[in-house]
Amino acid sequence: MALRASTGAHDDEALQVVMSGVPTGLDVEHQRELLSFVDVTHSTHDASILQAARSDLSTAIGWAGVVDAAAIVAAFEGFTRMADATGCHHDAEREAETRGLRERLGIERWSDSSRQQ
Amino acid sequence: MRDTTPDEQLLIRHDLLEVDRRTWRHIAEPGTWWTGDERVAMAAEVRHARHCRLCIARQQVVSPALAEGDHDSLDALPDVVVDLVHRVATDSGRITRRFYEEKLRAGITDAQYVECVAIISCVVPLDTFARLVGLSPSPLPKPEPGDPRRERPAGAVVHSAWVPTVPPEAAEGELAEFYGAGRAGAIRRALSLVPAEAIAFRTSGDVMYLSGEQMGNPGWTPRALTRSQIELIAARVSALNECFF
Repeated sequence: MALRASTGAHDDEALQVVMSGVPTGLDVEHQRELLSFVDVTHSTHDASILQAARSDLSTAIGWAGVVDAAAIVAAFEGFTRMADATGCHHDAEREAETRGLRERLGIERWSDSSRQQ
Repeated sequence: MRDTTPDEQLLIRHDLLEVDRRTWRHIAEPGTWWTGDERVAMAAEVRHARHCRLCIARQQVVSPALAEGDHDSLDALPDVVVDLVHRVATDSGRITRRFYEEKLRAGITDAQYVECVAIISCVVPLDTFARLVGLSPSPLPKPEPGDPRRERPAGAVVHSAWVPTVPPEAAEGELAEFYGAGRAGAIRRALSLVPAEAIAFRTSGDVMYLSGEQMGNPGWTPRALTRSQIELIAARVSALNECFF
């Protein structure tokens, strides 16, 4: 939702990019380099791969941008773990706002009833 | 191998370096339900989990239950806590309510669970940031002596999460101040059973990502990245982690 709000993109456009990691028509400058950085660095600890990823991104957005990107990635590595481990759910208002989106994604099959197992 | 140069290290935002220092100091202190020794041991176990053969095996099968065995641990914490730390650190996307309830049956209280999750959720971002910018992770701090405070906030109820949380109308003291006048969303409430951890976690998140006020302003861009770039990164990380929320 925040991506949609900040880019003016439709839900499906934003979703496609986020779920696939493939940059398309989203109005986000340097989306290819940013997505590549996130995907490459997601789980690797290989110093040479990480250095190459930093270098590529830095060429596009500068070192300050790399630092910001790294901080966002890091923050969400924490947010996602916290949310998943506590069984965090959207409040009623956000549930209503995102119902259509969740249905299109098929996320409801992973709702609490199935996560009870 | 080329690491981040000293000149580049100088260009790391001061607030990010400060949040690293502050968060490690917080972890080393006696918590609400765990001692400083236990909290630092959890942090050590978070780092160790990456090398755990059981965790590696679990990540490669359809269901975590299909991989059996014991964790490769540092033997400083009870097995139930080690399993909690390793699962949240390496495979949180497949954690279910049953996992949480099993931990309670095994003797961890709901508040101990929340505090442990908070520590893991603080350590992972700090180490991830260091890794991504080419810095060495901060050394584990020396634990501070002292007993846990053992204070449970009034009004905690099971609401929108598996763990009890404190609704805004029931919040008191530091938690009420933390919630502020606005709506306390699910993320802000998730760790509220242990207010000190909710505050520490969110404080870190405000610096690394955005504060609540900044989030409400889609056009806010006083960083090197635009808001849309920030949200693209955030959404992609969440997708890769298969975060249900």
